[in-house]
Amino acid sequence: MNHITDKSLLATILALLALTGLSWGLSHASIPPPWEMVVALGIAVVKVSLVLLFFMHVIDASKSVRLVVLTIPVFIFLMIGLVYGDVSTRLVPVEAIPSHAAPGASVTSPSR
Amino acid sequence: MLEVSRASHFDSIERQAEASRLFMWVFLASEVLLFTALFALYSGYRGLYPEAFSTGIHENLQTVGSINTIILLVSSYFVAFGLLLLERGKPRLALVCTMTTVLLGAVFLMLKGYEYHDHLSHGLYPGGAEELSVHGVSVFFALYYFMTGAHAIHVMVGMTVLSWLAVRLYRGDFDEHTSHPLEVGALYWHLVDSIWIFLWPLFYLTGG
Repeated sequence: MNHITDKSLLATILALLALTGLSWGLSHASIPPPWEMVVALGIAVVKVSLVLLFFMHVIDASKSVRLVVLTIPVFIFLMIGLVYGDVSTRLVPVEAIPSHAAPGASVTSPSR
Repeated sequence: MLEVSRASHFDSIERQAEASRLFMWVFLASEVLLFTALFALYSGYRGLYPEAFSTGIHENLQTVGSINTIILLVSSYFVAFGLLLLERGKPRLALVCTMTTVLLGAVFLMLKGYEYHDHLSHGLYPGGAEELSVHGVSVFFALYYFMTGAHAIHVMVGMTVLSWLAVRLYRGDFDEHTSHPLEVGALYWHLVDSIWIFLWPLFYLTGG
């Protein structure tokens, strides 16, 4: 069945614009971290999924194309997950010290 | 007039179209790897310098970044709709849609240039921004210029590809049976749009 029609494309762009508005609105809603990032990236994932499925025709694509598309999130999770996991479990965030700190002030945090 | 003809090693135009589609997807996956490495850097440094990233995000022009987001989304719609029109045997309308996408890309780049000019005039250089006095903010701006700069280069490449496809549409090279060149060109543009969908919250919205 062909899912790419005038109506589906129009519905997709309207949904994308609505999600953009939602993302912008929620960014002003004082959501505490880390949920602010979770919400923002979650909406971004939904938007990219709509672009993939309807604008890029993945919803009607062959199995070969879908296999290639599936490798994308696998590598994203590997590369970003491992880098962020390394930093977050081995180092502590640097405190917000002024960049013109007195000589001798510690500017890096010790590893655990 | 250059028409799209079947190469001898393909049984049919449909097989040729599928091969070009699959190749473009493999290429897009490699482009995503490039940006994933940059997003991985972002995630690592953000974990180390949360205050600096918050400060840097507040310095960015959220309104301009948001307008650019809308511009790219609408540009993606036009090239997708243009492809649909070409598949229905309407190449002239497909040409109008494709040129609209190229023009919207140009508007995006002009707004990006305005943003860079605004930052540079306030002393926010790549790896600079010392007067903001938060340790690590130079890392944020290094990432900002590198990632949005790499994205802008991809926008220029996409505009070049779509402009060339527009020329071929004007010449009458494509019809409803040979639409795959526009399809793979559109795929590249949608990737450019998808990357910005993630750049926008990371550099404009999540400053706390």
